[in-house]
Amino acid sequence: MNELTTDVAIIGSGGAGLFAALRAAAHPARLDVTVVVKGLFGKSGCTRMVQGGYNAALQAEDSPEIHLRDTIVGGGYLNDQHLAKTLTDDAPALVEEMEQVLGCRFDRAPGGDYDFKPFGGMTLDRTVHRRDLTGIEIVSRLADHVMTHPGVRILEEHRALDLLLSDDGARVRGLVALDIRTGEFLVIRARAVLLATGGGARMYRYSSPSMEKSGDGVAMAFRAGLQLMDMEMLQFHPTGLLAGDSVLTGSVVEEGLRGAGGHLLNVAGERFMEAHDPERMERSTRDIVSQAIYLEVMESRGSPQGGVFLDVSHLGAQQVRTEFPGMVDRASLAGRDLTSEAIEVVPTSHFHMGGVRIGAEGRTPIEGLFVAGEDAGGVHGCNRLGGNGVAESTVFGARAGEQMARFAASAPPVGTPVGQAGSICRRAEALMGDPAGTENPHRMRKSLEEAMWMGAGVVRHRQGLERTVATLLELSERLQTVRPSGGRRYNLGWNEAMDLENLMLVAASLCHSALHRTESRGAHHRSDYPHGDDRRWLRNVIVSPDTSGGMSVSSVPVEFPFLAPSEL
Amino acid sequence: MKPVQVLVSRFDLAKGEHEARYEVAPGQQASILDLLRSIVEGNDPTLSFRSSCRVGMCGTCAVVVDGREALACQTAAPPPGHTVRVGPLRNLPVIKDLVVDPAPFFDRYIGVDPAGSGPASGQPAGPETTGDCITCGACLSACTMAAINKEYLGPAALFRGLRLVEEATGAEAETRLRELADGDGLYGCRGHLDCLSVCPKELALPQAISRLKRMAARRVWGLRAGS
Repeated sequence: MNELTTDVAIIGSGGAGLFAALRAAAHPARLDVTVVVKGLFGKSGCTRMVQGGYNAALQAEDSPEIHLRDTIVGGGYLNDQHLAKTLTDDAPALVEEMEQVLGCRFDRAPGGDYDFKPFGGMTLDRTVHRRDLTGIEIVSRLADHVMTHPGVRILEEHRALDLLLSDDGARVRGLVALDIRTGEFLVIRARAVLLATGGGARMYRYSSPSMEKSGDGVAMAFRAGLQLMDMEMLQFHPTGLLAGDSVLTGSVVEEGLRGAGGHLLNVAGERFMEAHDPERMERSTRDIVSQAIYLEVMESRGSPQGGVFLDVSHLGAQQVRTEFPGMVDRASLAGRDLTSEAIEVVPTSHFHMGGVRIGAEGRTPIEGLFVAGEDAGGVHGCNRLGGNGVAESTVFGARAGEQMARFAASAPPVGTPVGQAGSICRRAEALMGDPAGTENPHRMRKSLEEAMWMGAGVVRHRQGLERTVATLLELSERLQTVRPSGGRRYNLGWNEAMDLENLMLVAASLCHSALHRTESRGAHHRSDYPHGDDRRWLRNVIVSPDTSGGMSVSSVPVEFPFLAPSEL
Repeated sequence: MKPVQVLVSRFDLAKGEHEARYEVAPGQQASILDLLRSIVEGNDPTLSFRSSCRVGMCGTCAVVVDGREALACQTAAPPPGHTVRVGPLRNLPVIKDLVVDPAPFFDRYIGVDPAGSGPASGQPAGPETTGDCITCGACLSACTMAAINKEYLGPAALFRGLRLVEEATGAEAETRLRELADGDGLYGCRGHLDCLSVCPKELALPQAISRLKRMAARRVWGLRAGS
């Protein structure tokens, strides 16, 4: 087995991984930093896909306190307020650093200040952006700096399989990775490790993230013994594009179309938002619009493809073409002319608010192991505001990178736990399939996506969730009998099976948490408990590994160090 | 509905190179990426290709479709009954099937010292630097000069180089320009215009390279128009 020794190993190259690498490499101890990423460096993951922008209290009248209040109100009071405060405190300086030091170029207003966009749930306009493709600029410029830094080694198309721990499980010692190109395993010894892989939102029939994301960080953390929190809180973006059988289906149709006056219509041509939010109509919040669309579809008032219609043609072709060129292009790939006809949309799984339970600066109870970005829970509570996602990943990536470097600079070198590495490789190899196996991993993914959409989707109830838990158990067993899909080199079927193993773990934790929370709040809506219950449920749901590797569910009260619900 | 015939260049270290033919029933609104996924899900699980964001933002899925570079996710499948030929990007080593090693592309990109080092103090970018490169490699694949000259930096790297020259002022701008103008880095381009309309983000690549050449002629070589 190939081996490599490094000081700091960072898993993922989105906003969190890149910022962590820059911070760790900047430490005066001249540490050896290794970025391990499943896809191509700087291309994989969702920071690059950010369209909207980056929330930071940079306006004169704005302040991190107001941004914090917006974030907590938006999060239904479930946020870890310390973490939310880190986000809102650090975001302004990071935006300035990205522009002044790292070379990002954001749009400017005529007066010279940032061109702040208005976003949902914000008291003031505070979303910094570069047109409607902000993520490309942020990730490209961060990647420029990381790829040219002499202290950083990049291992792209290397899939992290699992963490290596000390015998008592109290310290991280590195990880085992699979080189996707060669099919060879690599043991990476590291004093500090960051999980920054992105979440598991792809586990639904309709989902928006990049296709390789599979909640790897959350799954690895759970297998290492860490707790997960708020896993029932998965955000659906209300308008995912329906584009037939194409993988384009589920990609986000931006909120601006509704903001500009677009109408949502059911098959009878009714503006059904009237029944759900007569004041705000289509401009209501993500959770309410998603639930309304889901109900229209489930009650057979949907469009031919099983969504609803979004119509902006009454705004005039000129305005639509000028303001939403990207969306006009996207609709045309789906065979529709956005300027003159309605498109079909459906809620699409977008972002997992839940994740690994972390402490300040992404620390975990395992010494040397840090978690940042979508892999972590707590920052956004039960609902993430648009523009807070890229802020979270960069802020916590930077914080974790600093702390990992400080830790690694003084930590003793680590030996390799050989036995652990061997069993991790054997588990991965079992998923290559055997000649007697018949299961097609790609079709199994479709089964998982169907089960989650039907039983654990936008609106949930006990029976559906229990059925989904049973389906997940059955799928996990079938995963052990996949058919082989070729050799070790760049084997897509093998990789799909490994993605599925992690997605199913995330899916199960979501279902168990959703069963536990017997109320409706934010992104979590139960038709059998349709109302919020502040008296009982100002609590975070926690999923812990039990001694046999199963899931045990409990809850803990939310703490309110800065803003109590009564003050909000 | 009649199937689409998909001819795919296959390469494997052990088996060498060959072209495989697949019949795929295209779904509604199918792209080239959808066809490739259908092949792996049904016809032949051993085919390898890359994809990630599937909305034209990451530049991972660039391939050659009927002789022309394109993002698989942004290119429509042909009508039923028709044939389409899909191969890997050119000028990059093939790892397996449609998967290439992007290192020669990024070695060139790093060659322009892509990391910006400060606030934009120079002139606002002109039309030659409008738009955002997604480093997909399509332009390098199409370039006949890159095929024969490893010193030539190629269109995407020079596009980044131009933006950094424009954003910089004084000594830094001159240093950057001088380094680009050194050897074949910039002048490896002989104006064949292979990159004219190959960029999926429609960047004005030949115009950007021309602009760099004009700037270098004036500021590095001291030439004046008409002299």
